[in-house]
Amino acid sequence: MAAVLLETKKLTFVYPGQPESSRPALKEIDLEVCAGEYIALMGANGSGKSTLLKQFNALLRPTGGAVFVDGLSTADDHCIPQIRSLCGMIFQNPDNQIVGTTVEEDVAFGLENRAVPPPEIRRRVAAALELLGIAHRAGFPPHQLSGGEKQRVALAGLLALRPRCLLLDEPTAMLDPAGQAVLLEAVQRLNREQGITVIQATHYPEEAALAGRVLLLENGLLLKEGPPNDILSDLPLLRSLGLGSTAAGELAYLLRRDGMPLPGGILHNRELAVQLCLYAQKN
Amino acid sequence: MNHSVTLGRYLPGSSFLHRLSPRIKLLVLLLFLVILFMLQTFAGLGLLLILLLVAVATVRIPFRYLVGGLRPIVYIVIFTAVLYFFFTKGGVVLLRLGTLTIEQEGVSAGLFMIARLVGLVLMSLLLTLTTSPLDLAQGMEYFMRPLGRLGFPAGEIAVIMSIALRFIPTIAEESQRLLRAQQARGADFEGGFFSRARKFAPLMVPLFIGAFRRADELALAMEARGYRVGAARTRMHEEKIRAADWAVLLLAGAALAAVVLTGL
Repeated sequence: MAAVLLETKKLTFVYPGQPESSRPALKEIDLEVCAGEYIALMGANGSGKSTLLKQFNALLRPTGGAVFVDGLSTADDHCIPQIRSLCGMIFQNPDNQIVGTTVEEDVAFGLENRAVPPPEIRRRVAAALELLGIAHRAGFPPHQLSGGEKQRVALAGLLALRPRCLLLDEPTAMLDPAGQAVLLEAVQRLNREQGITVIQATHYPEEAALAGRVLLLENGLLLKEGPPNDILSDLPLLRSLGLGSTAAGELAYLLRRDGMPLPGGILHNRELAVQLCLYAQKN
Repeated sequence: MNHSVTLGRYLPGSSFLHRLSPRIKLLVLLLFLVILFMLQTFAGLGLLLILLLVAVATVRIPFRYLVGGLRPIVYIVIFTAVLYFFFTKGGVVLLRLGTLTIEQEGVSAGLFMIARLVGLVLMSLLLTLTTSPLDLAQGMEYFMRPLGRLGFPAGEIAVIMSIALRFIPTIAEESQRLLRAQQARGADFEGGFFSRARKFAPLMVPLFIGAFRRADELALAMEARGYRVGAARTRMHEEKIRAADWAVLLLAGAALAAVVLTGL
């Protein structure tokens, strides 16, 4: 088992300005995330997905319990610059997180904030743009890019900082299908090839099915966690939360309910096709 | 997208003017402004305009950018022409419309003023089309830096300016979207200037709410990326003043001296 990178201990969080007695946004969450994991965070709107992500780079800090990033407590002011270098975050709306007036200036923003020497900045920016396939857009103003390209610019801005963990807050929610595919492919590759830990909040079961572990949140509680084929095949639970499974998962569930002896945990089209073929052969 | 807002829109490129240091460009602009208002003869002004057009040609600005950039001053040009043509008297009477006359000096003074205006806009277009807004903001910050000793937050202001510039196209797109959304629900934005201004009020509320929401999210994103007010920052592109920059500045200075000495 790899080393623990992120850890929460009885993490409770109440948004400032809310009365103490009101329902906390996060309640007593105990979680360990190992380096190199790919985690999907699912839950209805307002279930606490964004709030939890923001805990990991100290944009929000626990009102109860503690959060540790690589052993550093987010409650400690001195650790915050380092924590934010370790954990980069991408938000849902690509337009509202791009600061630079050109693509390369935006990618450089985080490095400039850390007072990295300019030649080093230029090297790292070029490398990050290259890695995400947007080097040809380096001099463009952001408003001339597609949504998918903007999210890749935001991702490049994080990669230039060489983080160990990416916190993705519904990064594909405002993208077209092609843009979603390219972004997800890039994130998966970073996770696979560079061992960067990924925590991704998502509404899409197809995206959650790609993760190594799925966390289900409801009203600030960590309801259930496990591998995608456990979590995403529990249709009654998902439906009670206003969520669903992948197309193949939904269909497999319906077929099983109709008495077809399919194994549980089917999420991908190919798995379903194989199982249906086997079933057809037997009959 | 509203294409008539060319003023202040950067055009990426790699021409000589693009590569010139923004600080030098700002200084040269200042020198040329002085020249523009010192020139007294059509010959001098003509030379300057030719020089500017040559510069425009070397930058390879697309024609529609140029036209788009000049469009906002059409009304000012017309206003200037009317003012000078009808109210500056002297010389031969060229045209008589009842009690109004257009006289030679009025026409020449008017044309001179218009040429000046066109020169002014060409200069600012050359600067803003060849200098990325961030470079421009940083160039300005450089000249404001001495004020830092008096507690003036020059660095923060450079960031604020660059963000403002970055969001102009975004907010412009959003206003177009809001406009169309309201038109789709039957709102009517036609009519005279004042009735239109009044009709635009309902557009402003959602636009501002949207801008505030953006500001919140942007602040969060900036914080997540390690921005801290007052912290030391570096720049991706260090701005170095090269020999070519000094040469251009020197030439501009020489041009000013020539104008002063020859009385062009």
